[in-house]
Amino acid sequence: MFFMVLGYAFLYLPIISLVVYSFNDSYGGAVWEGFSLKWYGALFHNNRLIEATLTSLQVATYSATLAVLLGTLAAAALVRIKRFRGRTIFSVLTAAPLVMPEIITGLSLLLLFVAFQDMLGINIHRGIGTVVIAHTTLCIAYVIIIVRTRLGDMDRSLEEAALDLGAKPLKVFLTVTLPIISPALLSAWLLAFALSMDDLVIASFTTGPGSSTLPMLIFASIRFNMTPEINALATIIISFVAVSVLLAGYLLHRRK
Amino acid sequence: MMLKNKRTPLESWQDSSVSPYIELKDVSKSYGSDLAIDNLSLSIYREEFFSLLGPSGCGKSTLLRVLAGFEKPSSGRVLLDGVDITHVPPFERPVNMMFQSYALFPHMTAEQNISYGLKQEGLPRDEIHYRVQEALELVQMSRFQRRKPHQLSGGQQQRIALARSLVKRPKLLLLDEPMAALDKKLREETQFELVSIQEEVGVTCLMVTHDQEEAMTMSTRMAVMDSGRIRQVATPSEIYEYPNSEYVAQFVGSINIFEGIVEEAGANHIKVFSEEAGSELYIDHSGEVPEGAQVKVAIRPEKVMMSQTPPDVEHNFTRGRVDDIAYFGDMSTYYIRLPSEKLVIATLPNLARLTERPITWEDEVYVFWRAENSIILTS
Repeated sequence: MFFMVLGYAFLYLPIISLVVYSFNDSYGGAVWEGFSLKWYGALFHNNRLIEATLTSLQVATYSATLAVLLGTLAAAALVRIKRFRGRTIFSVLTAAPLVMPEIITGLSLLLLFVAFQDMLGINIHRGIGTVVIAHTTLCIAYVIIIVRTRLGDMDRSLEEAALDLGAKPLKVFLTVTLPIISPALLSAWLLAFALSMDDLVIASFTTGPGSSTLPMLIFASIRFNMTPEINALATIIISFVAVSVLLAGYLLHRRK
Repeated sequence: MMLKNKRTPLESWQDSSVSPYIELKDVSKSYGSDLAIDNLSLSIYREEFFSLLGPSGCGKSTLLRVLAGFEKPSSGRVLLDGVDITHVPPFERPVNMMFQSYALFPHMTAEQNISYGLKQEGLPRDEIHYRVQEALELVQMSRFQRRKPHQLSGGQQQRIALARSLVKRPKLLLLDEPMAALDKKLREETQFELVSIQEEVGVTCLMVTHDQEEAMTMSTRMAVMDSGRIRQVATPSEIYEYPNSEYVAQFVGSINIFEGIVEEAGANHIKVFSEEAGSELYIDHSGEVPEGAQVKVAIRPEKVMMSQTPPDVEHNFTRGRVDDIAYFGDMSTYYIRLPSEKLVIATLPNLARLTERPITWEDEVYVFWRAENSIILTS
């Protein structure tokens, strides 16, 4: 029991202190000067912060959606087609971003974008688009794991029954498979969204001027001066991420 | 328990002027080096209730999936009502299947499950509604049509699955272990009901089961399968009374088998000396067995009689000691050990209440049977 409390303290004390200090009336330090919501108010007057938040939300929405689309296709191929050329390699490669250091992923993508630019002689604008591509590659791996598990658990005879009743394969997917795996798709989307919102390293490598994501802005601003506004923003993000992760978990484990 | 007793003088499979409704011609199915179906041919006639019986892994489920179109045979042809359907995909076959797991769509109500197949045909809404209601009435599930599968009991789910597979009026209905998920009591009721529904709609059925009682009760004919081959095709009573091999005899019911050597092969009788039985066995029909051949004489336990005094017979009796008794209420099974250590099984109905057993453990008894009840097996 004691060690459990110690463990929780180790994990969550820093977050709790951050949340507590977001309500601190004082400007800089670690001194508690009374409860205040003024930093939350100040947040809404900070245009750079609002802009970065919108960028992050956009990036997260696009990359989560793309990752779910592509990841579902990959998961379906891995579960449904028992044998195809390069199946093992495909399976391993789709899981690679899980263990790949983010800094490598970020750097390699940046180099790739630059190489494309040189090769094709076109100007690839680094901004939301490139970050979305980068985040999609990261999120796909997680999507595949979630969707693959759900598809694997699904009774294969449900699809066979639909075929047997006269539905063509695409119709079977749309009317039977998709509705049944939709909780998994939604939870995969939420997880991907949270991952994208949270990422600093890959975004830093792949974005360009004028398209800073929220984590990038926060990281940049604490190097100059640590304002409690950041604490307030962090608290909002934590709540947001916590709610989506919990929701994802709930959807995934809910009994039909 | 024979449901199919309304026999016409000549059955369709005996009538050479009737052509088969479903025909499998030299069908093989292999997975790599595993042969799941081994060059199998089979004919099934219109409105038959045909069962495939066999242990797990004998290929019966693969055969069912070949007929449904989920598996393509490696070689051979499948004909339905004269049409070659070997390469027709499952969604274009006039064949429907009731799955062992029922495979009801969990996100649809009972009514939506049943109408799914009709919607794929693009029928007008009125007709879909009419036919779904008709199917629900057939399985007496009209009250439950708005329920989702998880709100239904196992027996109710089974009825919905049956309605869903019948509503398209398939030429062939495939049943994959339809009773496996039901408890014993419900299973027996459902067996009768399924057969009466089948007779009412007149659909040709092919059922896969590993439960021999189920196959015996429901089928017009059945095939006993082993390692991708059919060992015998016949009516349930023919399979039971005249199995063509030791495998079939052992698989359907239990049986006593004595090994022996043919001493005399007459025109209408055979005499076999069996060391195991410790006596001479007399079979009152002839078979294609030469004198001196090694054969097996088989006798069903319920056809073995037992007495404590010597029976007044010339052949087919031997002596042993009661080794064990299994009491089933309606009947008892006696295990009698012969001097050769061979166990003979005799099943006797408990005609009187068993307060005092007339024959009990360790008693010396005579076992005997009538000559017309034993069979000669050569394989």
